[in-house]
Amino acid sequence: MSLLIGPLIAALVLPCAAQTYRVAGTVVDSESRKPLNRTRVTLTDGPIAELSAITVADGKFSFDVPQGKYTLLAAHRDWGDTYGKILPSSDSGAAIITGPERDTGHLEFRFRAPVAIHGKVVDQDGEPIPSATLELFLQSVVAGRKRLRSLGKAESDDFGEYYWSSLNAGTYYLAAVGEPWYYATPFADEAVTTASGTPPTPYGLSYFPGATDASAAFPLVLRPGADAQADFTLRPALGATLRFVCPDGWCGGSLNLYAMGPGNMQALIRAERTLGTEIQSVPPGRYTIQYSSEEKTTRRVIDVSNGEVTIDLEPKPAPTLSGKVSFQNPEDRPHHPVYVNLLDDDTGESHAVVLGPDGSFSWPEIAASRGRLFLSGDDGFFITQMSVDGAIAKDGVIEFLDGAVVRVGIAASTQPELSKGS
Amino acid sequence: MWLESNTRWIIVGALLAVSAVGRAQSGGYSISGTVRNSLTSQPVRNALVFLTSQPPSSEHNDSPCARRPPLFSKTVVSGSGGEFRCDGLAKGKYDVSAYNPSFGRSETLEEEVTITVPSPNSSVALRLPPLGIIEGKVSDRYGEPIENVLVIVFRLTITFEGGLYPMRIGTLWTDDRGLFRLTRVQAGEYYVKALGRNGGTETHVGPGVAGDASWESFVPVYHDGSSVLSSATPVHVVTGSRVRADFNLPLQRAFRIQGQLEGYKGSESVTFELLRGDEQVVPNRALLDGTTGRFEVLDVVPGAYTLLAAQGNTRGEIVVNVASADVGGTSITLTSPNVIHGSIHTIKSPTASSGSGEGYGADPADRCNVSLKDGRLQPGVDTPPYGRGSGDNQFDIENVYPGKYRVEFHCTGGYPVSASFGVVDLLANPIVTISAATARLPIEILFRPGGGTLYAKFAGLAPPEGSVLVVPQFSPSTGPERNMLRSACGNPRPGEAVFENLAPGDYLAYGFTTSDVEFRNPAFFQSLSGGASVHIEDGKTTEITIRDIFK
Repeated sequence: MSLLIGPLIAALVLPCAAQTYRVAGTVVDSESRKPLNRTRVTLTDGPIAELSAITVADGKFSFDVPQGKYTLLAAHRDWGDTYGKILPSSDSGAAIITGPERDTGHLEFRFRAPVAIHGKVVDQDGEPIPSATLELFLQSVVAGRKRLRSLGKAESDDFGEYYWSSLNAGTYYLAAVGEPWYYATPFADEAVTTASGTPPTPYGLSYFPGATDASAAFPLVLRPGADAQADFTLRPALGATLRFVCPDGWCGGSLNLYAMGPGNMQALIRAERTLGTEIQSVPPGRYTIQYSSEEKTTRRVIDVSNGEVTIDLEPKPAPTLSGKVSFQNPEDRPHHPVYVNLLDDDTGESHAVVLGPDGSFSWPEIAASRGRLFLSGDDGFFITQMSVDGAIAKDGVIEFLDGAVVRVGIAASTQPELSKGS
Repeated sequence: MWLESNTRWIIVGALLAVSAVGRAQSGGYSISGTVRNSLTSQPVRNALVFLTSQPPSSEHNDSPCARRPPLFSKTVVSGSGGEFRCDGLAKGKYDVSAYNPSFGRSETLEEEVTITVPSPNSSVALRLPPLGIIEGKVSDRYGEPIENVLVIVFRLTITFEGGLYPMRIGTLWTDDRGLFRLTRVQAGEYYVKALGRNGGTETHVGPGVAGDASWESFVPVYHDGSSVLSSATPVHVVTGSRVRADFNLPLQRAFRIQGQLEGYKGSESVTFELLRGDEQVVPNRALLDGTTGRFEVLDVVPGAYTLLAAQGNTRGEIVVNVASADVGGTSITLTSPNVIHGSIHTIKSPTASSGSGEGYGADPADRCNVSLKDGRLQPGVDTPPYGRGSGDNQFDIENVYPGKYRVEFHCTGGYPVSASFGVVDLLANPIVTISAATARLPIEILFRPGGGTLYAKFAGLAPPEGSVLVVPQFSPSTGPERNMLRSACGNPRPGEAVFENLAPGDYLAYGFTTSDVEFRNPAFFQSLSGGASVHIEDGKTTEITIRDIFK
């Protein structure tokens, strides 16, 4: 029997004289297999609301609970893990099922510690670059495809240093881009010259470990608990100038410029700024432009070589999506909320809305993109048939163009069949 | 992390420094020099060096205060040795200054030397004082680092209204090593406080699960262990210093507050704040079911709280006591803000010939600006609710949420004789509590055009930042008033503080070498002594000379 601080019982409703079964084991670090001290172990999702205990040096825990199906969680220093989880980035683990002749008293909870990535961004002379933008991408498999998903951006500090922590173990790509602090400062006039007599130049995009070409980017494969260092040296980029032509001769709003990332799986961000009339020093390559102004957007893919590229921007209202779900079998009705999910086929990001009582759903505004629809919820409904109006759909992927008004009709069932697009 | 200071941009405009010139080869002239760290004498790379030339003063015979546009300006970047050079200059006077965001203003600022080209001097030496750094580590009693702790750095400033204001300089959160660091800190005294777990509201479609929700948290605390500002010790930052502010946090078992938002609108985000006393707060970590409005506020240590939820322009709050278990079944009703109505009634001035107040707006309601200041010490609070004239002597104060406020008046062309909020005499006690019940009560002001005028000057030299405080010796009144000494530029009576439309009566006037006068603090008045007595009469102008100057 382990020594526990607790157990701390949040809520416990046990029928009198009910047979109980033991859920017990040891929390260990998944890499070193050493027991974990001061770790909160929580048993939940079963017939009881929640039981929790905090381990001491031997990492042991123990609960006596009724027969049922449970989820076992552990949290150490603000980091949580689920027992039996296969994918580090997933919340789903293996259920603990208690009952006669089931051995749930000798569990080994292999706790996967978070990983951290840190580094320094310097220029060609080794001087720190403050306010450099770094973007972190996680490689994962979504809807059967390997994708990179952006986990967000970080900014280097005055020492050129950046830090990401509390990350799942996994495969990561990193990109960095920056500008000298005096580039485009609001108070320096246009006649700024550097010590070499040239105008200031922004630094080019760099993929870890220093590639300017996305195809040469190298992944960081991090085991649980890893603390990786990824330094960057950024160099001034001499590239093309993008000139923008907008309706009424004026470009307001903002524009994101993405470069195609490793393996063309994901567009990496190159620049994000309030749009003027041009963006300078864009290295050659294929880019995606997302421009928005006064609730209108446009998305363009451009090829850039050296020199100047003129781009006509004609923003239109953002695409809208609405539709209705009909349940094929009258006896097969939902008992829990059903969610309609829109999965971006390029980024792997998904958004969900809850289905209304009449089966309708809508997104008043979505990004111009390529996306797939799927259903989720406790009842386990699948899309068995789908009709699309206002957009082109192929193999279940809907092309949401600028200004499109898309309406879909979905037939759903708990019996999965192949999705049929039209 | 980010620096919540606008200093980096406003410094540059004020920089002026020494210049020196040398002969250029192409028949023009050049200016060259180096930029160095004033503390270490190391060269400063990537500093912007500004060169400006001023037109001859004979072209401008107007006031010396008038700004003259430069004839020429050029900006160059210093090289790896801190060197800079600007060629092709014409004859004339040039000012040279430098700026780099990691440094403060040039130490040669006060010298403001201008040299006429050509000059025998060959090189300019610009020195930039490095800014400071505040850094630290947050760990628990076992020495283990604590991640995602929100740390704020602020300094105390005194507002124009004489109140204390915690100006936030930096908002940081610890990494998994428990470390935080704030750079570009000006010399001065700063308070460093760990506020709680960094978070905000996670909105889920359906019930959310906080997989990494901590089971321990802490009461907000300053780096010296103090729990309240009055007993906290600031850290001192001097030029180029790296100051440590480490925390050893006594973690406690944390609980959750669960409940339902009534009046929830799914389309807008929600923030939750746990108020404990009048100290600063930040949005708490919370989970929200975006489809139902059910919420769960995390990281709550035992204590008595006001839990405030805000969505769009609606807010609601409840009082919650957390002991040794999660608190469930709460309900917060989100309601729209109140509109406080008010009226201003004008009474006839005893001196009909002066101070009629005309010209300050056709409606008397425009003559007094009435505002409600939140009683809490909150950095970055938006403009407080204030009255807008609605015609016919009426005004409305919109966007007033339940809470405790200080009612402040700023009248022109006259002075309030009386003011009330329900039965509360606002001139005797300007603190009001707004609730659903009291929000219907009107603010009523009796306004009298006119009043007296006071010119106050110092017996000796007038300090440039000096100010005068006048304290009414009668009650009820609108309280003390503080005005700056007028500058020499564009003012008919420079070096004097002018008070207009003072209510008649006896006053004491105090002089200060600074404008930072905390005159809303009762303890401050106890530290004052003496003061120049002055009697103000309606329609008359009084002049005094103040001999006892404070600070």
